Amino acid sequence: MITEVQKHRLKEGVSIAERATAKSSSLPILSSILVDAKKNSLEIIGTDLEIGVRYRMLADTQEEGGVAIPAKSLSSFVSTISGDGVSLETKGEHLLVKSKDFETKLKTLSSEEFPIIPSLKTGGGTITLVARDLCEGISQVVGFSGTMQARPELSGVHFSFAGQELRLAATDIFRLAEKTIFLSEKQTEETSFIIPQRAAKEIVSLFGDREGNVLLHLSPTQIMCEYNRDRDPLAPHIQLVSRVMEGEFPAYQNHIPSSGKVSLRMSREELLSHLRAAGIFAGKSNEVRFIIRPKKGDVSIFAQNTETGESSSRLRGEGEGEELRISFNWKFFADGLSQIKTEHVDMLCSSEEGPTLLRPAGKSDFFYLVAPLRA
Amino acid sequence: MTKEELWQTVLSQLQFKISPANFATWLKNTYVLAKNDGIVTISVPNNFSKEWLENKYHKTILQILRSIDESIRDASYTVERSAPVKKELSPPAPASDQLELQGVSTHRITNLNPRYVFDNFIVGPFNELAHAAAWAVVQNPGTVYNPLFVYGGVGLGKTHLLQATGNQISQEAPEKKIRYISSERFTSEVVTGIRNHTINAFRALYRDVDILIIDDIQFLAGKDKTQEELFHTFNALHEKGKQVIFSSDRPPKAIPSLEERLRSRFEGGMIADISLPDFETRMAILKIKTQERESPISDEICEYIASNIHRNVRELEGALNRIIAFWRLHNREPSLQDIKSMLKSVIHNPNKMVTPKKIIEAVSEFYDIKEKDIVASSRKREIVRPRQVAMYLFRQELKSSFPFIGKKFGGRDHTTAMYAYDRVSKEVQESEMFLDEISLIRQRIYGG
Repeated sequence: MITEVQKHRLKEGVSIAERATAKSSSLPILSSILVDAKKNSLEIIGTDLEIGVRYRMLADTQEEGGVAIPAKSLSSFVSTISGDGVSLETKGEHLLVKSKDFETKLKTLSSEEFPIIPSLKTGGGTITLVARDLCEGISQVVGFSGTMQARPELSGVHFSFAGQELRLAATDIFRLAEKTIFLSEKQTEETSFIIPQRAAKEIVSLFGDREGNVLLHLSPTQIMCEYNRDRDPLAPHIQLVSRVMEGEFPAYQNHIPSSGKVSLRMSREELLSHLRAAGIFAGKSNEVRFIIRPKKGDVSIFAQNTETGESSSRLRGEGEGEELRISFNWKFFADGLSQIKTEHVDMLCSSEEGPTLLRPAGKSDFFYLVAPLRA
Repeated sequence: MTKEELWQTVLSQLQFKISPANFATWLKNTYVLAKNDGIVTISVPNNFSKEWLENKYHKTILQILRSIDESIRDASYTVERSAPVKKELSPPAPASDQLELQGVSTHRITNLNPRYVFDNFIVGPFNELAHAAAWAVVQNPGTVYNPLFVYGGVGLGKTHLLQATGNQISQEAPEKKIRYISSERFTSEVVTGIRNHTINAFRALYRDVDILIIDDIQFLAGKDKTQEELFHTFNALHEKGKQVIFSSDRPPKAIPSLEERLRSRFEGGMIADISLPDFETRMAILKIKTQERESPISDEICEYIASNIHRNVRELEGALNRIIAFWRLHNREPSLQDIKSMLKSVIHNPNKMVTPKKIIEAVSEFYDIKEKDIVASSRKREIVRPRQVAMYLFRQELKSSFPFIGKKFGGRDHTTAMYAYDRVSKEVQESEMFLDEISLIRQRIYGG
């Protein structure tokens, strides 16, 4: 392999591919990155066999070929280099990295051993999404995925395409978040699948601050998320392949309270700070008690434990319904609240025992369900 | 050669051709899915394995396959998986209701289980009185029989009657505050109250109810602080004319270490007992239960169960459950013979015969002395004590008369036997260790 690339592209590619490598695995090759020179391009690939990332940049290749290089040494080295153009060349068991200021030899592993990133057979459908919308949506729900071994289908993010909407959802059975993203094109077919939490997080970090669209290619067993801005040959081409998880996501639609005992509108900032204050006194169970009096227009938040003491505070909450006493794990409550970005938040309680809904005031593209604690 | 054997053979040969790490990574969870027309389809867990096997090991695998079976022409690899779900989210698997306990659906405030109602409570001569008293309480809570004290053996329907009373009252007078609680929970609430200094809240909670139902009150024995709390709670409720209902497995007099003032209060209202159901009632219970489960079991079988299980309604239901399970499993109605063998363990309880010989044997074995020494005239200390224990057991287990015991033990006087019995009885009460000793010997008698 003999090729020449731009330094900042190489840097970006290596740091992206490194994130996908497996840190500790029975297969040592998984902690390395594959650098593969093709005609006019250089690909940098990392995988842990759950997800795979491929970064392609423009390169002036004289001789094709690939080598695997331990991710750690390559990325720490690449982050230090200066200059614009960098040339890469294999020499026996080493990779020679050269610019006008330096010449470095890196030990390599055989590229023969490196896993092949599965290619996606076309035909499963492709959906175009705005990168920023998708990543923002995922980041609002991805934190609520469960970690239970017994229910693997809950340890991912559920994608459900229908009509002109994409619904992203994640739950750990105590709480659930759903984000709706509006699509530019109407979907002819309804599809849904679950991708692992890690893959979802990687999508956010790979494409979160990129302009333009990402393409989502679907197949029954895996998905590929692809970014190539305006098909610009100069811009890098990034692909992320992930497996699709088995199992069926719970049908949560039936649990969304539509009407309830109490509906309230509160200041989000105020509620959050009251909760945090109460949280200090909430003890091990994190239990914080709400006493909601819609007629008076106020909400009391109360917490106590024998070690730290007790706290009681009050804030304004306008709405309607009967007086209600309900307890929550305050951390769960605050987690959901912090994913809401508007100034005010709507709260809807079905009963003392049913799930409570939180929603940004006046918006319907996001909601958060949290189960109350039983007395 | 089966598909499993075929793949086993391939794997066994392949393991020597590739490194162990690669073998473990790429061939984990693979198996042969099908073999059709000379093409072997291999199932792999994910697309990475698929790509790898297709591109790297295909040749080797095919070579091995062909060496085993020449008719094999090719191998293909597939990731087995259902297609993306086409939006048919089925209703079960609740997402946010998981905090609920499955199966037990007790009311949150009253603690009553709605399953227990008067409609499925079967009345017979054995529980007539208790039932009538409970009905009277439903009609006029707090006035006629206050407190109502129901007692009876295990599995005879005390809890059912209590809960049914609560449910009926809550139906007829929904505004009444009802609270059903087991005495064990009552105790633990007292303990929590003391620990967290919330005993006042506890008192307020219980003195505010209209109907208080406490189940299995005999467990309060020896819990003095709880008894005291109950005493005050009871007084407060009784004063205000609120109904209190208790259940126990024995009459108040027979509950050990129960404070006198509490005992007299239990006895101050109505005491109703539930005894063993007679044959007709047992039949009626079985009939109702079979109807509930919609499994038509013949009269003959019902009669057999009813005539053989007489002491416990719960066992009756258990026997019925077994039969229904058998039915579902074998998909045919069990014959009487099947039922006899099925219920053998329930019906023939291992009530072994106890003989004087067995007791002497067990005692001498336990204390490691000769059998004949026990009945001999020796007055050595290490012999006298086992002898007294044996005499005690004669009296307890065989209900022998004292003169008979005396005669059995080398023609001693009946007063010797009486003295031995008194002494051992006293010691059993005083010393835990000695009690254990006696129960170990008892185990030998019944177990051997």
